[in-house]
Amino acid sequence: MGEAIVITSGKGGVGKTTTSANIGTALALQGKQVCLLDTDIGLRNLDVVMGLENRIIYDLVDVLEERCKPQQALIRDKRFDCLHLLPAAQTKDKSAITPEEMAAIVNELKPDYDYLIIDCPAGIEQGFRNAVAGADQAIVVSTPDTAAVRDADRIIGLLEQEDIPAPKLVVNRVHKQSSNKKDEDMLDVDDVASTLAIDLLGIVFDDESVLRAAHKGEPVATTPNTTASLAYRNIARRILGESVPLLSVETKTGFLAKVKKLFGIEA
Amino acid sequence: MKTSFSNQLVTIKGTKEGLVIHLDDKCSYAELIQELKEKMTESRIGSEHDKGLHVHVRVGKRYVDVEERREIQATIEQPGTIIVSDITSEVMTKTEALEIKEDEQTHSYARLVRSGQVLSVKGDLLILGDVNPGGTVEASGDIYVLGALKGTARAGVEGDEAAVIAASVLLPAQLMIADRLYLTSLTRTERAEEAAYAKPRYACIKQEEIVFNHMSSLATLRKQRTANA
Repeated sequence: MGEAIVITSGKGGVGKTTTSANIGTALALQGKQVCLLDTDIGLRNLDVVMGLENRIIYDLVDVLEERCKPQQALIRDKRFDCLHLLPAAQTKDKSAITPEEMAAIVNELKPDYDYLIIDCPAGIEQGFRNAVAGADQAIVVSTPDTAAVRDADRIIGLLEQEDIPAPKLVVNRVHKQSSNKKDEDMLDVDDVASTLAIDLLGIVFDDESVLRAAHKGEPVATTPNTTASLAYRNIARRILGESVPLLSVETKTGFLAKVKKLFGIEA
Repeated sequence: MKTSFSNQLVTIKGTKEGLVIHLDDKCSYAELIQELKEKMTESRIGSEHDKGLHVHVRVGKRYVDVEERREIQATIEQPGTIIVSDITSEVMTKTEALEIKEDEQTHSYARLVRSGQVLSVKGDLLILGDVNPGGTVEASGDIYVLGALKGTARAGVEGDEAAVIAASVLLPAQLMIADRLYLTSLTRTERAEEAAYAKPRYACIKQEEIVFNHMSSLATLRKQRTANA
């Protein structure tokens, strides 16, 4: 029996879809059976990030209205056989489905997979309620800015009313420069985590490679040697229960700097 | 025929605090009102040299509702001469008792009040956790936050100007005590800086304005408050 994890944030544009795609891909890299569910009906883009937009024949609403079986609507990923996507409908809107129907679909798919990653739309209305309906766990994505943190806080408050364990936090698009020295004009990861007061599942540095990967329709998690890719793979390992230390900020420091630091000289 | 009329259902006594009318609490209400009416007409209280006479009414262990209170008051009062200053009963309904209990209780919550959430109680409020920006807490009494208060807090919402708001880190966006309002003038950056060095403080009304004080002086303030009450 699989586990359904909803990826949500409240605010738009903080990287829910990117996070969904990459966590899903990273879990598939670990050999898990993964199904990605896009619940952003009317504004779907998980398929675009995954580079699968041209293969969509049936979607979530078609399944609900019984024009096809769930298995027929699922799209197998180009790269991994164990990674599937159930796309959202593009011609309808959020009111096309109810939370009960969503929960039913999730429960129907669960036995076939290890993980179901549900990509939640922005906002706190019907779309959010649909996405959360079938979830066993939740991951809240925030960026280190006040508006995103405020909305994430609101979302956590709403998630606390659901019958799921406390959500986990992913801080996305962290600036490498700002996160090591204390700058009062910006929020750092500690500020975000202490305000939201939930467990930190991972931090993802702002990385151009994420944009490049999305443009190519290949989740960054598949490309080795970028910090973002490593971050997502670490998040996947933590979901699987491994204890992986958080990525350090000073990944690029040279040997001399390390020696200097060892002797307490500011590099 | 019962011999109840041999007992006095209504007794009028003069005491140090003024005239006290004791009403029997065992007989039926109708009987009581009947006798009260008779007593009031036959007794000589309320004659012209008793101008502005205040009486206290004691109904013993009888429960009297609003209607009955009004009737008793109307029966006794005579415009300009007799004024009922209070009607006291030794019993109250469960609802009233629970209301009083709730008003005097400290409600404690071990949780965060997050953005968009409103936590509202009657009585005092104790929160073990933070009140985040965008979150609101309200109480008819005091508010104590064992954590950071960064959102909005309203104490004494029913008009209690003696209410206080205390927090380990008191950096609210807005405070209200009774009808007095405080809006922070600090910028976001200044608030972040202050939060790092914040000491426990409380806010109260002093000379018509909300002021902040160190927690150490709260003890004196509360002592004064109980003395005044």
